[in-house]
Amino acid sequence: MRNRDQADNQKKDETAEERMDQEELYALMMDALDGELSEAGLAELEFHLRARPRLAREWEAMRAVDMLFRNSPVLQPAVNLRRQTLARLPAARQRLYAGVVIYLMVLASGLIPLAAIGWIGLQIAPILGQPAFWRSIWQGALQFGGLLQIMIAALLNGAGDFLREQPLALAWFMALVGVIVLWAGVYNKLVLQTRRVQS
Amino acid sequence: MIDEEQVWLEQARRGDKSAFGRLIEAYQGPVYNLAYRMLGNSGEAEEAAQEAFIRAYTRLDTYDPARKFSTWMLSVTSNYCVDLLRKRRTLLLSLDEPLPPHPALMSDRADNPEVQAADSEREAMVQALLEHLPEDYRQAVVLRYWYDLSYEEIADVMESSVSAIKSRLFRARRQLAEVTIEEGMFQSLQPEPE
Repeated sequence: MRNRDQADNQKKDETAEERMDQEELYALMMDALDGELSEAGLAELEFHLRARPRLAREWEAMRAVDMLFRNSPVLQPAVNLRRQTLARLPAARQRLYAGVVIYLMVLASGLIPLAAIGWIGLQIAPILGQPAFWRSIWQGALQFGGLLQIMIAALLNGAGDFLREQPLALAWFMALVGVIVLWAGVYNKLVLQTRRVQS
Repeated sequence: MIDEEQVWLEQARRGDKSAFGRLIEAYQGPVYNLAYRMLGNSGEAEEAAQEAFIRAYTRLDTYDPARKFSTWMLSVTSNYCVDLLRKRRTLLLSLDEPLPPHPALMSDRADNPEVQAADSEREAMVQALLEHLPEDYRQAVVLRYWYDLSYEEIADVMESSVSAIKSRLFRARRQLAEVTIEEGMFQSLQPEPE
């Protein structure tokens, strides 16, 4: 019976019409906890809460927590922090030097690459304007191409000679490729089949 | 005191460590208490209080003398503690194990074991409740209850608006009430039978 009454009261609390009252009651509760509610206001709050047991419980809990916190003292450190903290304070001069060094490093990190690019540009600019420079570049590229050609030809000739002298090496290589392909096929077959069964 | 404080601040700003030492002496209690309430651990709180003072010292140039030094100092401390709590959360450090009682509670009233036990129990309950709150709610609650700051001052410390602070305190109080009811923390507030 008592439970049913409580349930009924709870339902009453939650009707849309009373939700507005509830907000007003919460505002009164906050004022009361902040010590900004008059005696009359407090009496009014308590009067309204009599018909709302759920809110009344919440109010009781808020007051209990409020009392608990208000009775809890400002704790002092077990040790004197002064000496320990002072020992850790950075010296003003050192801070200044550190600041200057950091500033210079940040500045240098941006300026050094710019300066390097500028210097290289200045060194190269007069050379770039000379036709002899481009001619030498072209000749260098041609020589490099020729060298590359000789190297590739030598490599192919060497490989051809080797296969002529050692035909078994080719057979061995082909057999190796065959074995790899075969096992890859077997592996795929087995693994794919197993996965299909699992799914 | 305020005039003296201004003199110490001016001297500290010029690099006078002993003047800053006087400021530490004056504020070590409030700063440590704030760190302890936020972090819930005396060792960490001492470390955080020291770090907050060092930060304050290195940032004295940014301190606006129009503001109260105490408010600025609390702001530096609470911001540092919030950073620590966020790091702690990212590292997934669990604080589920019971925290050791605060040393001050064990030594100050050691002559009366009953009072000492009651104090320890109360403090454990306070910390357990605070740990249910998210960092920003906890910050607002601690500044309101232990420092008796107005909503405007809390908003100043937390660099937020007065309405946001009111809302955080309201939600925090409701959340705390809910926890005490659910966990039956007070005898008169046992959970409602279903």
